[in-house]
Amino acid sequence: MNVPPPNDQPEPKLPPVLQAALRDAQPTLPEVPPTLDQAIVNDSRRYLRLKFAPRNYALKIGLPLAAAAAIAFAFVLYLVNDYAEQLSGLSPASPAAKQTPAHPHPHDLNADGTRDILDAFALAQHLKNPTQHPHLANADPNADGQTNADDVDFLAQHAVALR
Amino acid sequence: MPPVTDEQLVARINAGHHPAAGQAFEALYRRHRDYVLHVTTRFAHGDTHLALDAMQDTFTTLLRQFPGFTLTAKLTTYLYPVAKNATHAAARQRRRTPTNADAPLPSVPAPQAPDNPAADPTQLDHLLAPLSPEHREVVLLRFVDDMPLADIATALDLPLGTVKSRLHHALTKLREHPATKNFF
Repeated sequence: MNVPPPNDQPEPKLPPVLQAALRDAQPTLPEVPPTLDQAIVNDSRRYLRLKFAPRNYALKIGLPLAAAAAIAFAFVLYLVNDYAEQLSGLSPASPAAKQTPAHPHPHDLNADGTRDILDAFALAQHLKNPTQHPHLANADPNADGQTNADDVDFLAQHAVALR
Repeated sequence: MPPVTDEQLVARINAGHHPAAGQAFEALYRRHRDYVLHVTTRFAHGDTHLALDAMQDTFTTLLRQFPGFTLTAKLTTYLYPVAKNATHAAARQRRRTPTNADAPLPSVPAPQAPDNPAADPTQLDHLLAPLSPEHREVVLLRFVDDMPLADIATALDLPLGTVKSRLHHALTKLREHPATKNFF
């Protein structure tokens, strides 16, 4: 049975000569073959690469999967939207949709599909002889709350690219 | 630039970035290889192949601790019991397979003559003859390996008082033994 020495007792010392003799009597270390060094290093690299690989695989597989899911979701949204438009008769394939665009550009007052000086002419003619055309009656290209000659100037300047 | 500490190398391995983790482990291996080999050679009693096998097993055990390995003491205090147990396990394995026990490893060269002519394991056995294995281990750790008492206690998983007690009793026996009493 071991009996601990008193706490106030100093740490025992070995005579330096005996300590040196013990050190001299230590067996010499064997030479480590370079192939063993290399094997241990290679094994460790392989192990660490495999051990930490799942996180890399998660990125490599997860990102393409997320992208594919996003594309599929967008495609489904497109199909649902297209189906809803067909039900309401506003599908691009519908003749009615071609005749009356749902959202004409506010500056395309003559509804010919382009924004040019002809829109300014149409508005000037409307100001001179008011019509019931919905685009012209509510036209306010410069957004000042009024339909007047300033709107004609605004459209004309845009048409010749002065603004 | 200060050298990278063991703690920093362990943190790099735990981070797992390739190839930094592998390089950090290689640095740990190069730094502590000779210490581990020193321990395994001591417990292998001159069997070079056994010592090298146990050294490799020790670093394999260390490697398997990652990720998540944390250093709560010096790495040498962790490696000491691992190297000691690996040597004992390798020796037991050799005894179970006696037909392979004497077969040399293909990659290991023939043992060379010791560099230090004074080194003689029988001399060590002669000097420490009066000591039990437990007392002998503490004496070697303290006075040959220069390991502090607290680290010895950690490495052997013993209370500090027990380590002091063993050292105290070991020196008492050495002081009384004919082979060593003249040193005192």
